[in-house]
Amino acid sequence: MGKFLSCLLLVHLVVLSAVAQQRNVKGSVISNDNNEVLPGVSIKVKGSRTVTQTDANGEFQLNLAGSNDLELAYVGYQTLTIRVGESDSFIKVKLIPNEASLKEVIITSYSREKRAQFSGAASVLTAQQINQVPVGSFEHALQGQAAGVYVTAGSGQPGSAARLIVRGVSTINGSTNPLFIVDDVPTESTIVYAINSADIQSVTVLKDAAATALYGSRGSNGVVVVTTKRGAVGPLKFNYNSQLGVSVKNNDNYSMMTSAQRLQFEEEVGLESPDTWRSVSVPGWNFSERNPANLNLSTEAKARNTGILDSLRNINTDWRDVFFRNGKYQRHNVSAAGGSEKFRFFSSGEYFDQDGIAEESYMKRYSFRTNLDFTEKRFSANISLGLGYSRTSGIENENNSSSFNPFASVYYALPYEQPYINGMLYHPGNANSAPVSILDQREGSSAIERMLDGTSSSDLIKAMFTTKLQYKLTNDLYATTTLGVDFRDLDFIRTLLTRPVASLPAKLGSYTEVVNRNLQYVSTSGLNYKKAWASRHQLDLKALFELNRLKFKSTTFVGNGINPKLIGSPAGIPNSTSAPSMATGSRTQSALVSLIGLASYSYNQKYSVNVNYRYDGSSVVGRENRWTGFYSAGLNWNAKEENFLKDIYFLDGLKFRGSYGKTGSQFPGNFNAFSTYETTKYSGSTGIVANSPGNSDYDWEITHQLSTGIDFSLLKNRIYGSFDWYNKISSNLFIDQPLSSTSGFITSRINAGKMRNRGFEGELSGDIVSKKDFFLRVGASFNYNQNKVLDLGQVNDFIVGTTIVREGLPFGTQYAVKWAGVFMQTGDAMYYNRDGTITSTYDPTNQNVTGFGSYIPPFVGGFNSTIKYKDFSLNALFSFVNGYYRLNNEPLYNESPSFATSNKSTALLRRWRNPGDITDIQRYDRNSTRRLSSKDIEDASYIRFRNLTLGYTVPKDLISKVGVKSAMLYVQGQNLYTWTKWTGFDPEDNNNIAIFEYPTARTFSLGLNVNF
Amino acid sequence: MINRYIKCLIAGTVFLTATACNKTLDILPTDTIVANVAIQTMSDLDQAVAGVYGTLGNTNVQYRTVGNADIILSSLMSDENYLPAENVSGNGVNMYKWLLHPDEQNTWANWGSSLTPTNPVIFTGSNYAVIDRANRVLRVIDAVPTTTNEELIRKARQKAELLTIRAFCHFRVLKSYAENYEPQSLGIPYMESINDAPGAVKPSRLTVGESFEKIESDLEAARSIYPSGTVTDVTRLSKLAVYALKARVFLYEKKWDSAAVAATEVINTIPLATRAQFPGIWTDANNSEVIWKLKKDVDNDRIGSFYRTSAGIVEYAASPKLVNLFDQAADIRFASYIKIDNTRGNNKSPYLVNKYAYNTTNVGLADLKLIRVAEMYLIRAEAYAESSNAPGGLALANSDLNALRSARIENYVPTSYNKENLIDEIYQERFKELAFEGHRYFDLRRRSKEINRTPLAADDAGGSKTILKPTDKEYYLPIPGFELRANENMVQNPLYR
Repeated sequence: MGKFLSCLLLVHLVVLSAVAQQRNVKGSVISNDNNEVLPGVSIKVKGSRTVTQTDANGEFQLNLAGSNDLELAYVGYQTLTIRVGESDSFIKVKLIPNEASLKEVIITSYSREKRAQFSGAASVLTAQQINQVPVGSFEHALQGQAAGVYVTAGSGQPGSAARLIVRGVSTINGSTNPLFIVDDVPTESTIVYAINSADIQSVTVLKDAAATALYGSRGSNGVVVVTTKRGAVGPLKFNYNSQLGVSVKNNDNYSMMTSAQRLQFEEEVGLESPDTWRSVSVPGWNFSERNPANLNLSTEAKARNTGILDSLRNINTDWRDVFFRNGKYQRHNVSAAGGSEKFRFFSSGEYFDQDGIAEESYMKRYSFRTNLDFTEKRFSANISLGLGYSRTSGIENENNSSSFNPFASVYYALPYEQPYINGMLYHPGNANSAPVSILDQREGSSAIERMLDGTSSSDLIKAMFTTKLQYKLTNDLYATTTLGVDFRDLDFIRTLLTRPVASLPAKLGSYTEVVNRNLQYVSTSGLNYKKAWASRHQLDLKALFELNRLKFKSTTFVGNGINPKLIGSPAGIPNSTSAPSMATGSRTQSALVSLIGLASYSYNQKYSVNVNYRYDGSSVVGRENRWTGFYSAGLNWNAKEENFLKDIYFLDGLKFRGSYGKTGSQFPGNFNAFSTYETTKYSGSTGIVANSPGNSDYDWEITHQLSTGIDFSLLKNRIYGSFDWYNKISSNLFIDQPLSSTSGFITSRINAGKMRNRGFEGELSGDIVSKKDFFLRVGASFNYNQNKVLDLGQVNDFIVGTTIVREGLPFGTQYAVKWAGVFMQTGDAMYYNRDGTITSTYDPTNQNVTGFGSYIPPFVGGFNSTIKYKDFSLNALFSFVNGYYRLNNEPLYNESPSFATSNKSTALLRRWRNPGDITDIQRYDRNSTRRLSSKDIEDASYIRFRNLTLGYTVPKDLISKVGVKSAMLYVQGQNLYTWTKWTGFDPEDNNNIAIFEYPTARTFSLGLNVNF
Repeated sequence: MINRYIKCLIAGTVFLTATACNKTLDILPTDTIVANVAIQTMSDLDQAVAGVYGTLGNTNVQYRTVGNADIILSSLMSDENYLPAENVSGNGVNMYKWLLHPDEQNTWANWGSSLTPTNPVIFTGSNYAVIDRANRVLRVIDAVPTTTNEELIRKARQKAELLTIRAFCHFRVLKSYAENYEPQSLGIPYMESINDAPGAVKPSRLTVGESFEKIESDLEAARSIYPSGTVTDVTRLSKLAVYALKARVFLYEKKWDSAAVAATEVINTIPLATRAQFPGIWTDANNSEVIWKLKKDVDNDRIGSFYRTSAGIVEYAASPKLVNLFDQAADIRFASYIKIDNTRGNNKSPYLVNKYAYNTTNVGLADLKLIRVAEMYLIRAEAYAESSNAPGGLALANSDLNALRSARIENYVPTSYNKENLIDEIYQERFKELAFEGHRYFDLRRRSKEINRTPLAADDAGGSKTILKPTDKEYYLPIPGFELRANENMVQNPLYR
């Protein structure tokens, strides 16, 4: 068949040459962004059947007659049509990377591969999926959009990091964070909120060994590769993007008592078990006419009591109104890009300002980026310079049961507590001087007071600089070197003002500053050999040497007795002996040296092999284990290119992939191998004391992964799908082996154990309607992952928080006493013993069991749809998490008689009261302890309406007069609605235990995007 | 030309890898000292020994430290204190209500700590941690070179101190977690060496008798190497402290004669405080009759905050039972130990524990008095009263009790009691004299006396039980659940099985 075609081609050429005056035209094709030659670009002479391809050097020859239009097409690049004049004999073409077809290119810091020839598994997100999402930290935009990546927000605080888990948790105590690479330089994955998401060109998540083994000892958790936008040859382009919006509280399943309910509850409990209120002051009972103590009161006194209760009943403070607010949001972004053949640039600036839905919580960012590309003959340079400054301010005691935490006080504070009386805040410090006697515990007011008198803010400066140089030594051989720096300075400042507590000597205010500096630099150098021959063989070899160095330092100082007029500056610290200051800090560093070899070979674009090897030496493992080799091998079969599939008209693409390889995991702690002493003090003298027993056998955490996949497109590319199956075995797991206390330590970090993640993931999208004026696409992505702990070595199963790590069970398995209901006769809480009998005794050691699910959801994903009608577009994105079981710690506080003076959940209104009552709420009195049990493990599965964007493209004729090329107006809503059974404010979290967290906000914004 | 270039590059790469890389990777800790070079000189040793004392101040469970664990344990378990309604933090409440089980954090205080659902922070302090740190120094102490005679003596004293601390900490574990104090009952593991693979440390429990033997043997070893000569620093353990600890240990073992002999060594060296000196002991103005105290710094955990928080909330108040025992006017102890503050308002306890109130600038910051002479009088009195072969033992016992009472109570008229009454009187005196010093609960256990909290205070928010009998499981402490899970050789106390 192939022979037949080429014969035909030959015949045509012969025929053509017969008709017109032929001449030979030569040319070369290179990439616009890095000047690499592009082999395999297809070149078609328009209006004829002449087609050819560039060779390994990116060069081609054509016999042309007269002037012709050539159409150059290459995967990942915009198709370009150029005119070849009659006199042209040599043409040089630059292809511009295509944003829309970026999904066809897999970018790593070491290579750029065509997806068609890539054997690894990767999810790619393009600029339009990220640029406009109104979140402070860009990785939130990956939620529900990348198959196999579970992205979950831990906090609604603007700028807080999301947790990313790629293809399941493959560690017990190590980090699950993937490695983040921004413009070829590793960056800290948890502090990326200084990066302007509008600068991002693409985000590629590398998932299998073929893709991640390039990163060797840091690849096990997956790799997130971010590239930023670059200039293109052509006229100067400007872009202005602006968003204005508001963040509001999301829907919740919150149900605390109202004033009337609470007062009634107080009275009823007083009648049921008067002992409960012994020595606790609750007005609902104290002033109740049914209280035996009030029986003999005078009529006036009784009337006064009723009056008091009436006025309390009318207060009804909704603490949600007090602690939540509507947060303002605005963002402005300008960029300019352009350049010539030799020199191109992209430059942008951004102002981002988002207020949280809690008072005092916000994030502001100023970011700047300039990317430069330079090409001169054999030499090319790519320079990326990014700088961000961000200021965030957080709430008090986030994720804590303290009543200073506004999200705890929302629950705790009594509805009949009125924080302000005549405009003055009465908190525990000045409640005694209130004009009226205060009958509540001032829990809400105390949180307000702390909010007003305390600040906790952070200044972040982050710089990311990369220089990439390439020199073409011969036609096939390149020398490359990449130098990069990731710098971060995070300055946390906390002040706590003097609080006037009447009964105490004036408490001193304090000023705390924590300065963290993180510096990471990387240098990668080596050679790249690229060769293509006989028009069907393509070979790409790379040998690189890399050095990674990380240095971190932290300094903390606390000054006491600050001058309240010098808040926010350490100059306010008096350094007096009565209020001594404190200074402390730490430093750490690590080094990673690597030898890297990459080989890829492709035959006829049909079969490709990728082989990677990386030999890593690290300073953080024990000496004997210092050097380890990591590898991967992958195969790719482009089946559509086979003759027997070529003619199947409805199949546009079919590809099979498979890979196997070994990667390692990032290390928690740099010096775990050493047995060490730290400084301490006693009685005025300094001392040293052993602080770690060390482990000289400390080794790498290793993951072996087998991954296979299929990609296909059908019906003129209207249906696209990609499915992957993988089996990931992680061994040598870092385990905090719980020790006998008699050893003098609590845990010891050892390598033991094995864990498996096996799963299936996929993406599917279909263009249901694709007409000129109307376009409808629906898509979905999902990941089903089964995690199983296979082996824990010498270690017995152990408890982590409220979960157990046990062989045969998934990581994160809940471990709790099984709730058996409320005993009808006594109202006692009942629990199951392990043998199935029921008892009122609570004994976790002997009663804890599994069977309540895991807090790492096995099934996650998202679905989306895009509708375009004329100038309007509508994008909707949903994300879902299923099989997600978390421990809700909040009812323990909201239902417990131990915290009697705090407000209670309305669930208590259906408590057990009399023998024979059938209910799920135990009796309420001082001897009925509310305990954590399986009752508190809730199904936190949810579907969240993540984003809805309605856009309107302003018609060209309206705007071209004012010099605007294109303009788009859009409105978008983020986190619009959540469907869940969860009873707290927000089911989404990055951990297991729910304890008064900062919920995710719902953000509405209005945007304008103008290009000119 | 190109080939040469490649060759050079490859050669260079290999060279770099072979030499420079390994050097690059030799990164030593920057914030910590690697153990094998930590203790090489006498000055290092001085620091290391200070470090062992320092670990007694480490946080243990919640807001406890190793040093004050006994005090808090006794306050929560016994009848010294009560839980006023104003304690809304829940701090220690389960233990006060005698809701004990192996995973109840408060019961762990004298054993160790673990990760817990509500407290994800690892607290590193424990008696066994102190023992381990002492053992680590003991392992290398003999190899530390000395050049002068003074250094030789100093080294001997430091070794003796470490052995004493080791015995002291084991004794604290023993009296908390022993099945009971009978010799054949289940005691505790005794740690005398270091295993560099901490995961392999899984000792079993000795009997109570064997545990006491080990404690005695460490104390005796310490006594024998303590250099002569008085050391005035009461923040460090001295030879006298060894005698005092011996007296205390013998009392628990009911080795009455030995207890009396050891106590006498102390009594003959240090006098009781005068009435003028007495209040100054508690504000650390003087060190009268203090044999050993744990020094506290401004930034340390404050024992006083356990009773009354820095926000002024009384979380544990002195029990009316204890308050009523004192002759408030005549007894010099009362004002130092307890303050009655009737101005605190309704629903607030007036009975403040004043022993650790310290001063107004650093409220609650007081050194921990771990051994005092007064206790020696009470030990000797009890020993003499019980001693069968000491002629006139009862008279000697009465005289010790009278000596202490006369020193404390104005115009005290010496009284003589028969043996039975005398033991009760000594117990009552221990209750008063050693209140809030971590003795009461263990004294009751020593003689299997029930814990009786009546009369209750008006605002007592305690549990339903007011009496705990030696037949009740909760009368004893369980071995912590995490220990049983980590160490298969460990067995639980019978009542908790």
